[in-house]
Amino acid sequence: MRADHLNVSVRGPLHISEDKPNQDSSLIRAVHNGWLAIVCDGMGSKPFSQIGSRQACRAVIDTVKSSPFTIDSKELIRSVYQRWLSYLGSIKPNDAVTTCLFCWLSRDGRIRTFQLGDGLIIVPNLMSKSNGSNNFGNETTGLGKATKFSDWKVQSFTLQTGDAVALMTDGISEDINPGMESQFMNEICNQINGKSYRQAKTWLKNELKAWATPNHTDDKSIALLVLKHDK
Amino acid sequence: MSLKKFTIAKARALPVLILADTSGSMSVDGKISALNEAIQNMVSTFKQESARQAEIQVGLITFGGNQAEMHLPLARASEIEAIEPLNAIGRTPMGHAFELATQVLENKELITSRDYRPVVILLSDGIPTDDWKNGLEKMTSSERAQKASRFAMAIGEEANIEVLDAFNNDTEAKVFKAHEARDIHRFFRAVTMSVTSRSKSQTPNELTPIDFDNLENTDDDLGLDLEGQW
Repeated sequence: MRADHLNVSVRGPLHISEDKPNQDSSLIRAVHNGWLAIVCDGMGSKPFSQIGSRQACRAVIDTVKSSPFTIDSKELIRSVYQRWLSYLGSIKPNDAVTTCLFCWLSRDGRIRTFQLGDGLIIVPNLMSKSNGSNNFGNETTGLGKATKFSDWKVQSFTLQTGDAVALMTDGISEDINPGMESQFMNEICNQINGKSYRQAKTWLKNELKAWATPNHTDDKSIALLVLKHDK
Repeated sequence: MSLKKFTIAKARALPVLILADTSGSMSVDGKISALNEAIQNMVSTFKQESARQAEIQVGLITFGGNQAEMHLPLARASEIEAIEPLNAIGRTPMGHAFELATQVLENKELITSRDYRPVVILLSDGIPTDDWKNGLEKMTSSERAQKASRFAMAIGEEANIEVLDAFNNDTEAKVFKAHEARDIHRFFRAVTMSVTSRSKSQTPNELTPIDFDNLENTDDDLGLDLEGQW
């Protein structure tokens, strides 16, 4: 099978007005036995959060590239974390705290998802929202802060042809009406269906830039994978 | 077709909850009138700031007489037309005020999980007349209410500092002691600045430090006290 994919990241109004860089990082890569989608949200109050989120993406890719799909979850997370720490070099982990959400989709439709901190992973018939009801906005954990395996939300299941999975930072997920998360993802799938990659990316980027929630400030990143039959 | 129909059409809120002592002793030396004016000024300032990153909300719980009351339910500062002036009368049911505040802070429909960490301000000039420890315990042990930033102001020499110290959870700002009516204004100005600064900040959950020992006494304040001292 193959996977259609799209990932977009835009700076939020606050960072634009303050002329600061996007502190989110997101990417999708084809790996040896499937595809990998990652979104990371650097914690705004930390001086090197932009580097933290970028290096988290790099750590996930490098770990997955050298691992079998069946690797133990705890071992995978530990390896990602250790790589991230080494990639930071002299930067203190606490100065580069970042959320880390990724999913690994195999060519036969098996998928594994990993989430540390705020944001959302939308999968068919299943929704994971790290934002516990006893939290307030922007209270999150991440690499550089969490140290336990239990801080991660880990899931694995099998996608059917046509199924989609979307990962997004809290700049998007916190502003989606509760209960409409799957519809939100389906709408994106419908809208980009038939569009070229460039057209789809432009459309989604414009949607995120024209975000409707009043006074929204955050950077916004989303990565989408749709499982398809081989052409 | 766009994604707008799936997004929340409401800005994230930064709730500010005031717990005001309206017991009988507040009626002397111009304390209650200074408090009324200070609260009005705070809301007026918030009104101007509400169009920023976070929408400031204000709620007011009073404790005087037999029980605490929700004098002003939590509302957007920009939509508060007027606050009914406070009257000072009776005993000091501070513990009940803590319980009411906890109910507000724990109400997930009123303060949602996407809203920013609330600020709770306590001001008192006396000694609680009910079981304040039990009320405070409920606040500090509940899942969400305990996360609020808590400031306290002691008004006059009779205020019970032990209680206010126990309430205050800002390690950088000790309980502010108001010796004169105008100190109430200074306290509110400092808290107003801290909240508005947070509402504009990239990280609205993080408190802007307040140095109560070195509050500016500037603005147009000539330092005159026309309402007496105590």
